[in-house]
Amino acid sequence: MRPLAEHQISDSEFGEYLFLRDNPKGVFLERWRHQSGCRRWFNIVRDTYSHEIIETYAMGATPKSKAGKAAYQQSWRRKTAAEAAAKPGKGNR
Amino acid sequence: MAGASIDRGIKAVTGKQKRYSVFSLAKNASSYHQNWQQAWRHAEPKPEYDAVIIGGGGHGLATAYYLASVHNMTNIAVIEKGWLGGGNTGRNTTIIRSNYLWDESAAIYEHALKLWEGLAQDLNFNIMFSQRGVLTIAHSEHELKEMSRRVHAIRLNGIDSEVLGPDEIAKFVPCINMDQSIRYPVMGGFLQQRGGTARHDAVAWGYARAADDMGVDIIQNCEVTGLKRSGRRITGIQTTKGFIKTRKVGCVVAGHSSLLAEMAGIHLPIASRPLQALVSEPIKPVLDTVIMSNAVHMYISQSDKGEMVLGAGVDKYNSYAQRGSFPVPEHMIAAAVELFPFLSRLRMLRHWGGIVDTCPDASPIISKTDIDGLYFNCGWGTGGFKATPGSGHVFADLIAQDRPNAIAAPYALSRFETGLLIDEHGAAGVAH
Ligand SMILES: Cc1cc2nc3c(=O)[nH]c(=O)nc-3n(C[C@H](O)[C@H](O)[C@H](O)COP(=O)(O)OP(=O)(O)OC[C@H]3O[C@@H](n4cnc5c(N)ncnc54)[C@H](O)[C@@H]3O)c2cc1C
Repeated sequence: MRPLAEHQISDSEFGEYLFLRDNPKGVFLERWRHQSGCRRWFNIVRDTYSHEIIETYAMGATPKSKAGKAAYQQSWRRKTAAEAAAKPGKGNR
Repeated sequence: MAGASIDRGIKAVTGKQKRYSVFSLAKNASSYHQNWQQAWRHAEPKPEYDAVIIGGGGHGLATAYYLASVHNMTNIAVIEKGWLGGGNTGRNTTIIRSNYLWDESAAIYEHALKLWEGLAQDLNFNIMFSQRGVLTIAHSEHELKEMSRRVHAIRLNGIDSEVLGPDEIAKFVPCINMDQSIRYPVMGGFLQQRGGTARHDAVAWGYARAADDMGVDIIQNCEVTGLKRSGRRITGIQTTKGFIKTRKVGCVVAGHSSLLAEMAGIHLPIASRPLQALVSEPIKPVLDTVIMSNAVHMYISQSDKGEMVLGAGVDKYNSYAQRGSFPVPEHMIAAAVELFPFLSRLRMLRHWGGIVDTCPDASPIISKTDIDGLYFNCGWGTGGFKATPGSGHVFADLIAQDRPNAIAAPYALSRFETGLLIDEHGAAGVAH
């Protein structure tokens, strides 16, 4: 999620949000767009080694499958300053 | 790009290895080629090294070679989980050139090209380096204008580059379709005559043999499973053949870089994607140069065996499966057949994918990390084969001195904090 309070985080924390990637071998959370069809964006939980599609879910939702939930919760991004600054609240618009 | 002369580290292959020569060829022919010496030892890991290179692709082996030959660090090892060159080194379409737009790129790719020129002699190994020229073609007026702008920038960096008009192209590449009514007509192009190809496996083998000759341990079938550190310093690596103590670790694992980095709690700006290529059945010589097209994303050359070697663009999704999707080669083949109609009669023999380490600015990472003694060389993505000697040369320097030289400095990880990106998307000519 884009940090709302950009001014509250450092260049390095913003760089981390903008450039650094989750790039696992295994369960991966990603965003796809149905380009030649309904053109809608959606989320997907996919295995980057077996290419198995584990789950799809709507924009704004979080994964429901066991593998998807674990990947979501364990991602290092959950603990970054950028992610904290993305939550609406004190100082954030 | 004039500068100090390069220390090429030419002191290899004088030790235990017998030199390859026309005499050794004749001598071994007389014993039915049964008595050739082993090109490198099957080393088992020692408990401790001064430095360890993870990844036995071209870049890792070149790094080890220059560490030993230029920096006299011979108590080192290369750790490879599979076989030498079995990653992207042995899967690429071997296009070599240095005609990049930005100064930082020109510096490193030209450094590499200078090393390619004469590398076979340095290593006493025939790497089949062939400066057959690389011609990038334009399919629109705009592309042609953009090309001439680029040619001038490249020449200002002292790198050979010239614009060719349609007549010159028709003469240079007789088998290309110059019909102006096709979907992507050839309207011109730019040529780097010093560019070309090399035999990919031979590059890995040549570096391995020369490094081994200086005492470097090359350990295959050994996967690194953990990086050990004490505080902010690296102290060793965990492998499937046990723990190895060392205070310097260079990671050169291409598409697997993020996995190695995570072992040390570091996140990289890298996405691992499939990149595909295919070769046809061998035919008589028809194409004696390399052709690439940015707009249709196709590149083609003919190997010395006579196979047509074709490469495409990168697949758009992350994967570690070393195979790609069908639409990408389909699109590329359609473009190739239009430009070279005779291709439609050829059977394709092999088709494969490699996992490439793509970076947001399409430039590599050659960098120290926050952990003392841990270095990364990655992010070469779809186009790192051409850089192999230069990449190994500057990375060895970084590991030995613990500070980047002028060529490597712009490629530090810190650029993703400062925003000083080296944006080679599009500017590069094509993805390769
Ligand atoms: C289809 C294709 C076409 C290409 N065409 C071109 C081209 O025409 N021109 C060009 O310049 N570039 C091209 N490239 C890119 C080029 O191949 C790469 O940039 C370059 O070869 C990377 O070399 P490397 O030594 O860094 O990586 P690799 O050769 O991939 O070596 C990395 C090694 O690390 C090993 N490894 C990984 N994880 C571990 C671990 N945990 N422990 C131990 N070892 C490990 C792997 O097994 C592998 O052998 C192409 C790539 C592909 C896939």
